[in-house]
Amino acid sequence: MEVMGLAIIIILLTLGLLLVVRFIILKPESDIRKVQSESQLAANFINAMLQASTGCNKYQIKALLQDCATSNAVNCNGEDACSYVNRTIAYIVGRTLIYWDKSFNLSVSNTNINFPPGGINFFRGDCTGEKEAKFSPIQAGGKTITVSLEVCR
Amino acid sequence: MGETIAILIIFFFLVIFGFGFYVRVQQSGFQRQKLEGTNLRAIQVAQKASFLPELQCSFKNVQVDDCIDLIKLDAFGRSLSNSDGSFYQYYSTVFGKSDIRVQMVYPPGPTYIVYTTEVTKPENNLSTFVPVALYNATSKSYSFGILSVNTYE
Repeated sequence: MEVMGLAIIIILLTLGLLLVVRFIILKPESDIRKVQSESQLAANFINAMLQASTGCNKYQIKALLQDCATSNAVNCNGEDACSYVNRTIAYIVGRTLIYWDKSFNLSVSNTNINFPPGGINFFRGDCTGEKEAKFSPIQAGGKTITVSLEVCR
Repeated sequence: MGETIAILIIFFFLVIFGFGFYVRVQQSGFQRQKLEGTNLRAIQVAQKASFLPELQCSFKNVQVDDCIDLIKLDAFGRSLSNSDGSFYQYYSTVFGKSDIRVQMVYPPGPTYIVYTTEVTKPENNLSTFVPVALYNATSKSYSFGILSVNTYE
């Protein structure tokens, strides 16, 4: 009779143990810092980048993108606005996102023929899973171009 | 008699085993909570640093987010190192054990130390990068910068 009681106790203990393992020990870690910092990174990156003044007559990157999407008339020391802004963004991305080993996808959409062949698009790593995406629309001569950055996990 | 002793031995074995398991679960919970606390502190310090009114750009008394005024940044750094220590003492209560720097990425420029603490044996080093626009009020131009916040335990 006592053996039966013991067997029941062992079964109950095993069940309790399994529940503890399932819900406490194997609980996925919440990486709130990563989520928060990637969200802030994506939003701030676009804002700060668009505001940056370039070596092309102190034009901001935003102004060069606007020119690139419309007339492409700005002359940057013998270089057109499209290739100059493309090179500048590549430099910034290289010193930040690529240097930090982040997977990302940065693109400027709604481009026209004036944009460099293939458009302004930088990416690195696998971006098929979870990601933090931010967009910034820019008015350019009656149309809207969108700068988007996806920081991938 | 023998059966009762056997049952008692098994019972005490289960009690000891259960207690050991409980201690392990508690330890794992403490570690998790500690890590979460460290992560939250890293977020808190990064947020405080990026929204510090002493450094933020302001135009006609309106503060601009994600923007650091280079003149304020320079003055802040000098005050922190030159004063009698009360300035540093105040900010040590705000930032704790951390290292906050602003690096001018584009155009390439210097790295400014906002706040730093000497830690002999840094543990749980967490780095957060916040892209910011750096405003130069003299030339009325913006640079692309990175506010890097390292927090320690």
